[in-house]
Amino acid sequence: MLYLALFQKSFQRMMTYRAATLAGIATNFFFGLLRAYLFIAVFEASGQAQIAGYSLKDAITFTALTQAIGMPIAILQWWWEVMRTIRSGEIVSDLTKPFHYFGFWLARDLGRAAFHFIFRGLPILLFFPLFFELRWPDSLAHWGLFLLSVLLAVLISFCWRFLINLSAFWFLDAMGIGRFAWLTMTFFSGFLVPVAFFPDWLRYVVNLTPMPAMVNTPIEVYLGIVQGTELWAALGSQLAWAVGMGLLCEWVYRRGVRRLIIQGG
Amino acid sequence: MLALYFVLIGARIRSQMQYKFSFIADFFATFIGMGLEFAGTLVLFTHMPALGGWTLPEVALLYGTVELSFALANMIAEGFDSLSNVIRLGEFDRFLLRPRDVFFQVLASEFAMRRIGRVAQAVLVLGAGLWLLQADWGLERWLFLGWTVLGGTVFFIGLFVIGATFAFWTIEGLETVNIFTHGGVTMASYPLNIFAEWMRNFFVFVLPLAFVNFYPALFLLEKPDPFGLPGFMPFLAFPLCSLVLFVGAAFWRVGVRHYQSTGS
Repeated sequence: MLYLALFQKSFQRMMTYRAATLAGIATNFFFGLLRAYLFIAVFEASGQAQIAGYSLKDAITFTALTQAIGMPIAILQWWWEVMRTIRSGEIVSDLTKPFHYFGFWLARDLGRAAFHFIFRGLPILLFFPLFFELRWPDSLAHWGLFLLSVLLAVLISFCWRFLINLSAFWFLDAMGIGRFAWLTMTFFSGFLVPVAFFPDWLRYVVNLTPMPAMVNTPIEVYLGIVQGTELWAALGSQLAWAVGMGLLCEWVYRRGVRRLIIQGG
Repeated sequence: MLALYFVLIGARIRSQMQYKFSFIADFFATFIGMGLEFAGTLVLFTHMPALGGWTLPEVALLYGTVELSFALANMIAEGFDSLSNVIRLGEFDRFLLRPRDVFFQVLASEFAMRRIGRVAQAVLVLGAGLWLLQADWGLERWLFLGWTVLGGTVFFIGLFVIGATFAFWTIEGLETVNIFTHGGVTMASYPLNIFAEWMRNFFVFVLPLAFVNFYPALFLLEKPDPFGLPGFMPFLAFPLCSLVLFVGAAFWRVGVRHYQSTGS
């Protein structure tokens, strides 16, 4: 099947950057350690065993997990590919090919995300226990739910990036918009600090957006902070965001193509 | 040479200002986006009175100085940041043909005006920190602050040069350098005493990151040195930062001599 092949090729393409992968693991690992020591100091200074429902062990696991899923969710590295093809006019050749445009990029992005999860994410989780004790999911089903939540987070992140990339249909230079979308993601998704730590008003506002569904939700699923009906509600809300944003992508794309003007040629 | 530098950089800046909308959009994107990094610290401070013995305005001073140095270095040393592309495309040969120092040419080849948003947010956080501290300093301390930012800028330019020089061997840029540049900024945004001993030792004795802002801040805020090192440490800041650039420039000369052209 075409999309499966695209997924595979994208995965294999990533395999060729061996040195970059190793360097990336080292960098993510270092950042993970930095942030872990930061949270240790925060807990020490707060004089409390728990902050907003997180124990110190939870917070340290949070630092490892964010570094591990940061690449699959493309929060550590923004994605400009669609914007680039619109600007260069290469998009014309993609439009003439018999595939679903959104599906084409999604399949490729999932291939990239799968590679990053296995080769950039798992090593962080494997090496982190050399420095700190981590919390681990207590059953296979728990692991499964975490993986499902990560997959949904990747889908939402993809839709978000795809939408922002499509702004290039309307603006010749949408780099600023892209950079803004990317940098806001790192804070509002709960990547830097768990959303639970936010002041009430900010947490309320952030929860109206899809941001926490990209990082905060998978982490809370992993840590068991959401359980029972809350857990299903969290996964359900992720699914709703993924479907809703996917449909929005398709709609915006169709409108964008209608106004597409290819310059030069 | 200085006059020539400003002619070349002036042309660069003018060309980047041609697209006004995209420049302004980029400015606000970076200004707000990078500022959110400090919002993370603000959130953490809602759960504690001080971090490692440093209050919020004091941490703002640490953050503001290192961010400002880094952002300025990033603007100035953009030519080195994009060097691996130049080498990969085989365009570096052109630099070698011209009758000017290669280091100077690469430095003058780019100036990233778009990073001004990061400079602005650093100035804002630094200003807010100083205002909250009600810094009632004599002239010598204000000068010392300026000297500190300059030292940090020199330090990071040195690191960018070292990172770029690796591209003469690896063609691709060396991503591990990010640990020292971006990782260094992140680390120096917080009091150094909250980190593990091996990390601190590395950033005091091997790569003098501690001198970019931590030791100068101890002097400015009259805080005792948590590591119990001699009192003259803050005054080593500028010489040690310059040393990094000096080492970078020496390494650069080795790299240029080693350069083998790419392409066909």
